[in-house]
Order: sequence, then C-alpha cells, then structure tokens
Amino acid sequence: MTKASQQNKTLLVIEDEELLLNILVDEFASEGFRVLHASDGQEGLDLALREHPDLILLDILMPHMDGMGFLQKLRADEWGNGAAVLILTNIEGDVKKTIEAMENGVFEYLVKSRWSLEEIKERVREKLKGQDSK
Amino acid sequence: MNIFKPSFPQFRIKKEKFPYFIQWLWNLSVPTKLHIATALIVVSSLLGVGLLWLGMASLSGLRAYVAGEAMWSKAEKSAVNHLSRYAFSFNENDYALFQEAMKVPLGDRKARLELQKEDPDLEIVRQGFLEGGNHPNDIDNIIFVFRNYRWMSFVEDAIDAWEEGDKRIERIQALGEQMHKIITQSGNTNNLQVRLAVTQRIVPLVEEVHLLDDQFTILEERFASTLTNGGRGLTRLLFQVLIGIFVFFSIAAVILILFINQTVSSVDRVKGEMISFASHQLRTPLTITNWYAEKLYREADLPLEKRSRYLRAIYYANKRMIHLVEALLNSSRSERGILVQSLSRIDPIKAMNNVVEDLDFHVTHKKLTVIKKYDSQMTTMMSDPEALKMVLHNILSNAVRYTPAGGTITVGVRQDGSHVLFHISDTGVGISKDEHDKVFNKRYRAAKVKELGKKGSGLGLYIARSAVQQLGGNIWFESEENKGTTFYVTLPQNGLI
Repeated sequence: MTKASQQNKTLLVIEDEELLLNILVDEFASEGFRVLHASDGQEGLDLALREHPDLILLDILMPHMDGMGFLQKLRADEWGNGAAVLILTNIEGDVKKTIEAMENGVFEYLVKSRWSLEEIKERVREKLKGQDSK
Repeated sequence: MNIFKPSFPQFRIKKEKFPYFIQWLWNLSVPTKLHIATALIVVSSLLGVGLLWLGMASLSGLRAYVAGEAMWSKAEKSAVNHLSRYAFSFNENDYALFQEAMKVPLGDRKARLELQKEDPDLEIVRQGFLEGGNHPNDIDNIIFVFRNYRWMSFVEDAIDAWEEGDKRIERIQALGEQMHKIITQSGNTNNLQVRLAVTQRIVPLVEEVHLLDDQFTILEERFASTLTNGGRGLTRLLFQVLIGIFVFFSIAAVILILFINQTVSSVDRVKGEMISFASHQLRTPLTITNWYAEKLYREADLPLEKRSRYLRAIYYANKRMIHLVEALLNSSRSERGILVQSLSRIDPIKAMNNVVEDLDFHVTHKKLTVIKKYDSQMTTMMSDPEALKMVLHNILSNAVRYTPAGGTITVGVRQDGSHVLFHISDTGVGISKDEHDKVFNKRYRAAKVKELGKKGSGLGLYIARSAVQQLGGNIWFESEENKGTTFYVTLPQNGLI
C-alpha cells in the first residue's frame, strides 16, 4: 500500500493512556493516514458514528465506557455493524473478553507490549488492503 | 478503572460467622499454627503414653496385691493347720512351723502399719512386704497403689478387708502364744494326767482358732474379688480417658491443619494474583518505552523537539516501572515488618523537595501549582531516608493524580514538639465520608477514582502507613469531597522511640 493511497484512509485510535495515544497518532499520521483519536469509549463512539473511519484501533481498559461497551454499542449501529475493528490491549488471558469480542465480530487481538509499532502498522495496512479487495 | 480485582473462590467461608476464639485461631500466622498443631500432637502422644504407663503400673500393682493375697491366705491356712496340730502334738516343731507361717501375714501387717503413718519409712515397708512373701519387683507397685489409690472406693474396701484380717491374725498370734505358754509350762507332757489338763485348757483356744479361720475365708475372698473387679473398672476408665484425649487432640490438630491449608492456598492465590497484577501494571510503561524507543532508533531524522519529548516519555515510563517494583517489594516487606532498614541523619525539607521534583513531569503536564511552606528553623532528623521518601512520594503522587488540571498542591514541613510534621494538601477530588476508614486498606481505590480510570496500584497508602508505624510516627488525613485532601505525617525527630 503506497503512502498516497493511505491518504484517503481514516483511522480512529481509541486509547486512554495519553502517551500511547500520542505515539500511535504520530506514527500513523506520519504514514499519511488521517488519524482521529479519543481517550474513552463514549468519545470514540461519537467519532466513529460521525466519521465512519476505515479502521478502528481499540483499547479494552478505559474509563467511563470500556472497549467492550463501545463494541456493543458500535455493532448496534447499521454502519457500525460492519466496521473494521482491531483490538490493541495489554490484558490477555481473559477468555470471557475474547469470546465477547468474537461475538462482536472482532477476531484480532494485539497485545501492545508484544507488538512493535512497525508490526502494528503492517497489520493495519494488511487489514485495509483486505478491505479494498472486497 | 480498577485494574486489579482479586478473584474470589466460588465458596467463601465468612470469617465473621464464627466465635471469637475460632477467629483468633484463624488469624494466627502459619508458622504459629504449625507449632501449635505439633505441640498438640506431641502433648497428646505424651499424655497417651503417660496414661498407658499409669494404667499398666496400676494393673500391675493390683495384680501384685492379688498375688500377695494368695500368699497371705496360703500362709494363714498353713499357720492354722500347724497350730491345730501343735494343740494336740505338743511338739515344739509344730509350733515353730506355725510361727514360720505367721511371718507372712505379720510381715504384710508391719508394712501396712508403717504405710499408714504420716511419713513412712519405706525401708521398713519393703522389709515387711518381703517377709510377706511378695516378689521384690512387685513391692514398688504395691506401695504406689497403696499410697495413691486410696481415694478409689474399691481399693479402700480391699484395705478394709485386710485390716479386718490383720485383727484376726493378731488374735491368732495371741492364741498361739497362749497355747505355747500353757504347753511349755505344763511340765511333763508324757504324763496322761498332765496331758488331759492341758488339752482341756487348750480346746477352747483351738475352737476360737477355727472360728477365726472361717472368717478369714470370707475376708480373703472379699479382698481378692474387690480388687479384681476394681481393676477391671479402672482399666475401662483409663481406656475411655485415653480415647477421649486422642479424639480431642486429633480434632484440634486436624482443624489447625485445615486452617493452615486454607491459609497456604490463599497465600498461593494471592501470590499468583500479585504476579499477574504486577506484570499487568508493568505492561503499559513497557509498551510506552517499547514504542517510543522504536521510533527514536528507527527514525534518524526526527525533529529535535520530538526527540526530546519521546525521551522524556521513556524516562518517566521507566520511573513508573521502578516505582511499581518498589511498591510491590515494599508491600511484601511491610507484611514481614521490615520496611524500615536503617536510620541516618536527614534533612526533612530536602527529602520533601526531592519527592516534589520526582513528580515534576506530571505537575507540569497538568499545570499544577506547587506551594512550599517550610519552617525556616527546621533542623535535621533521624529517620530511614528510603522509607520516608516512599511515604512522601506515595502521598504526593496521589495528590498529583487526583487533582484536576490547574489545581494547587501545598507541601509543608515544620517542627511539632519532639516530632517533625509533614503535610501535603491538594485541591483535588477528595475522599467521601463513607470511605474515610477504608483509605489505608490494601488496594483501596476510591469509587470516584475508579470511575475516572486513574492508574494506580492501591498499595500506596497501605505501605505508607505501615512504614510510618514502623518509624514510630503517625499518619492521618482530612478530606472533603470535591474540595481537596490534606495528609499529615509526624515522625519522631530522634528516630525510633
């Protein structure tokens, strides 16, 4: 995927840890994506439903409305039901959450502390490419 | 949001439902419980062995009495026999045999009389029983039973029978001597005339002897049966007591072992949770370091402002990890009561300043104002610098965390009698009244705080209080919801009292 084609892609990053949010935004912005961001589920939901991003990077543990809450509300929306979501989190081994996520159409869980920025970028590109070829 | 939620097993025994004693037992430390359980087992074993020994000694003693009684009856019958013969043979030999036989009951009598004294001479007692024909190895048992078992009715009964027997033995002895006197003083016993006269005088004596002999039979039987029945009863009693002791101590030991098991498994569980919690808490700062460092080394042409921002983020993320590790270590140390390691002379104002500086990043980031109110006359104090730093840091980091942007934090150090008083105030979210007494609990996170999603271990104030207590000081706070909180810490100026 070229930098040029990345320019018309919108990403939404929802992450409450500010330092992590900043670097993710920096990273994807410098790749040419249009990056929207939010630090809690509610804010993220409003943005998602308004802007219809091509891919949503979602954290699970957040105040007010957490990742799961966001996901459920998102899927209740017509557009949201088909929206692409990638979960970036640091909790794992929580089988309940994994199943819940799958029930809400998310099959990808990336553990932040194990993935480098480069690898995440690659994964995002792949997912968006997959979307294009549909 | 509260990240760390300890998992509870499906079935949880409510401690409070049990009586106070059980609760106290539950709360003892594992080594203590183990010691008590061991002691119970040892004591019950010793008691068991002791009772067994006692039982065997008693039964042995009773058996010795019965054997002694057999000797006694045999001798008594033999004496009566010889005396009867003597009464008609006038043969000195018969009389000698009579006296020989009498030694047995008389020996036992001598022993009994001595034993009934206030302070018996055991040598005389032993001598008496030996004369009574008792086996030397049985004598100690016989004495033991006599001296220690009189309170048992059956033993008392048997000894009564013995006393009755002795009375009659004394009478027999007297009768024998009387006969002997008559016969030896009668003169020529070959003379028929003389013989008749003597016999006339002796016959009533012999009749009495036979009368007594009949009585002896009854007494001897009474003595033997009382002891045998009593012996059976004693065995049964001892057996029951033994079983009782065994059951009691076994139950006590089993209960303690169950408690230990529960404690150990809950400790294991908590340890597991601690590790899982620790690794979880570490992940965020690790990710920060990871990604920022990645960016830094991958992009050589990053603008300077970004570079320095990224490096700062890494620095503070690292600090966060250091503090977490410290907190975990201290949590473990505070459990073991070894938070305070050593005392040295320190400057309390400098200590406070250091702690404030440590949190500079967050203070600047949230645009908080820090006011310092230090007593200009403040001198040095004796304390553990690491422990003090940790206490102040934990309180101050809370203040910073829970004060919204633009707020104010005031720190102060001043003399307070023989103590040094530190205070840290903020204009933060405060602590609601109903949570006031939970503040120093392990992993206390205020409800409001959870909602705001602030990151924190919940261990800070628990450890702080533990450290302050070990330093011989005091910690308390004042707070009003949405207005702010002030924490106070006093420490003895001259170290631990």
